Amino acid sequence: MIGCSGDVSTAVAGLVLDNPVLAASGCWGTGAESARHLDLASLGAVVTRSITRDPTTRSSSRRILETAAGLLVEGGLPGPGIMTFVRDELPALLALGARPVVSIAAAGLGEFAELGARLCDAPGVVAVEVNLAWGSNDHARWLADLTQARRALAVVRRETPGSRPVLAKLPCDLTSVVEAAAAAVEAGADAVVVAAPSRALRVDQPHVGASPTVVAGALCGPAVRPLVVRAVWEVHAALPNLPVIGVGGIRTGRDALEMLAAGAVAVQVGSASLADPAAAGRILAELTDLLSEQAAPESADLVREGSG
Amino acid sequence: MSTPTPNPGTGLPRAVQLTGHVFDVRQVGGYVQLTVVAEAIPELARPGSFVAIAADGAPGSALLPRLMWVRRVRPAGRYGGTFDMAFRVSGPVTAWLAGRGRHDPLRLVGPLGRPFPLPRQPVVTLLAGIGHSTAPLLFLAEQLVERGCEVHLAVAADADAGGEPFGLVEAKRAASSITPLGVGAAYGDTPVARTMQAALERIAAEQRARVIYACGRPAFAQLASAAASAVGARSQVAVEIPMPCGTGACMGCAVAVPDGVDRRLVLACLDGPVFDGAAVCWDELTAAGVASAGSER
Repeated sequence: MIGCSGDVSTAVAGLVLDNPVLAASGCWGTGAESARHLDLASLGAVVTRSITRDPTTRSSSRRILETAAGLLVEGGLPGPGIMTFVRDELPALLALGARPVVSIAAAGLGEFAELGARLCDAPGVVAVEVNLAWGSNDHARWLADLTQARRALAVVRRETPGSRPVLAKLPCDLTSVVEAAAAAVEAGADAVVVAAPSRALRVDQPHVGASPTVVAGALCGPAVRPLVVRAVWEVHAALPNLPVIGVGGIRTGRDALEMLAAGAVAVQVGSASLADPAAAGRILAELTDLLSEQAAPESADLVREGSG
Repeated sequence: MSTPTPNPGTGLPRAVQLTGHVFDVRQVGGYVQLTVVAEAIPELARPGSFVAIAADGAPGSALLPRLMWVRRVRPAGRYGGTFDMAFRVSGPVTAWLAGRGRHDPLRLVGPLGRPFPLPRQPVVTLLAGIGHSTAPLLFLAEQLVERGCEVHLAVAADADAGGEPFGLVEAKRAASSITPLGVGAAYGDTPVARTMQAALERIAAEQRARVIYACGRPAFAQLASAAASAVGARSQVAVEIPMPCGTGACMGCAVAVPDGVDRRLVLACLDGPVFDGAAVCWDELTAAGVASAGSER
């Protein structure tokens, strides 16, 4: 474990990772693009963009707008659909030496079941991350009613081999992230990923009196990091045995360290990779340095082993 | 064109991430032209390539890189290889960039994107650009002339990005003719777009152009493609749609292309920005608004 002879390995619900830095969903392409700048095999794991059952064929289906300290991400999940993903993208990712966590998103329970079933026999998948913050036309569809979220997770858990952790990705703009995390565990999730981007709006009005145009999306990036740190802290305090993976606006090793100190067993690096495609590797190196500097006994358990 | 070396293990054209340094900042008409010393990029870049510049040092700590067309390369200069890019100051980040001084560092990724394919034979070509998007076309024009191609240029001012075409004085050296297309604010099937398309068709027919190369937002790229089809020429168009990251990471620049009877999505930053104009599903793209390369977000 951490602090002992440079070992930075961690574990998420029985899944042992060489280090606690993961590439977050939707911020590193399909693999080959990022592999030009970053050794994906050096990361603890990589979380794929959210894969849907059917392919997307609409241009400009996803828009990303810059805000003062965050990115407003609007719209769809461009992807090839689960069949093509399993056939083409997954093997290519494994060939790069990456350890893929496959993120899945669906508009209905039947789709989640199909996604789970398609992934069931797919080799090399180290975990499944369920994107509960996405649903057709409503970012919080699955979490508007925790019963629905429970059902979705139960369906995926049922279709997923027992040895393969199911991670529930939750946003932090909920009445209670702790309650959602507890519901996720009840439904069979082995760990939670906190947090999915929060619902946000941009309203453009060309001039006073004009009818405004509204971009409805979700906010990620440094703007949300303190919110995420709070959510990670609260979930860990309430459910100390539940492994929590922190994601949101991490740009430096110190940011990652803060997330671990708040109670996360691992972190994911997302938007930082858009301007710096090597960000996840750099953050891992910075974190490793920080951890070895701080290898005093009291920090020896900064990266905890989640027993969830 | 020599085939770019792939990055090991990825099968993709080589792109590097590095820190370059500003060598020169010049005002060229209403544009700022920045010359940057950087390893590898001058050797690897082709007309149609672009670079991503990290802008987190700019006021407001922009989270997305700024994407700039490569205007020109000088692979083996006295001070190492350099490349040029040109942009109009249109917001805090481009103002910050314009204010960089000699030797200031710039964090870069590049070259990015699929460049313009060059003809194997010397043929007559028509290059159509609007506003700042003439920058990659001038780079292209110089390479076409080197290959013995005849280059005709047709340029529009960009009403939205507020600008005369970039680099017309330099263009005179490479182009056999330069035709102004007026002021374009062209979105979709507007009278302006129809006039521009008719002008391109006329020039292409008169000069017997075999290829129309174009660069601009989807509406402009589409009308150039349509002009090519109308006169039986091929088209290679660099499509400026918003590309958040430029490196294929964010999937924010998906473009639908025909795939048999069906269609599939590719990425403008990776599989484009240069496309065969006859092989793009234009319908949804032409609704998209803001330019990406060379402009603020």
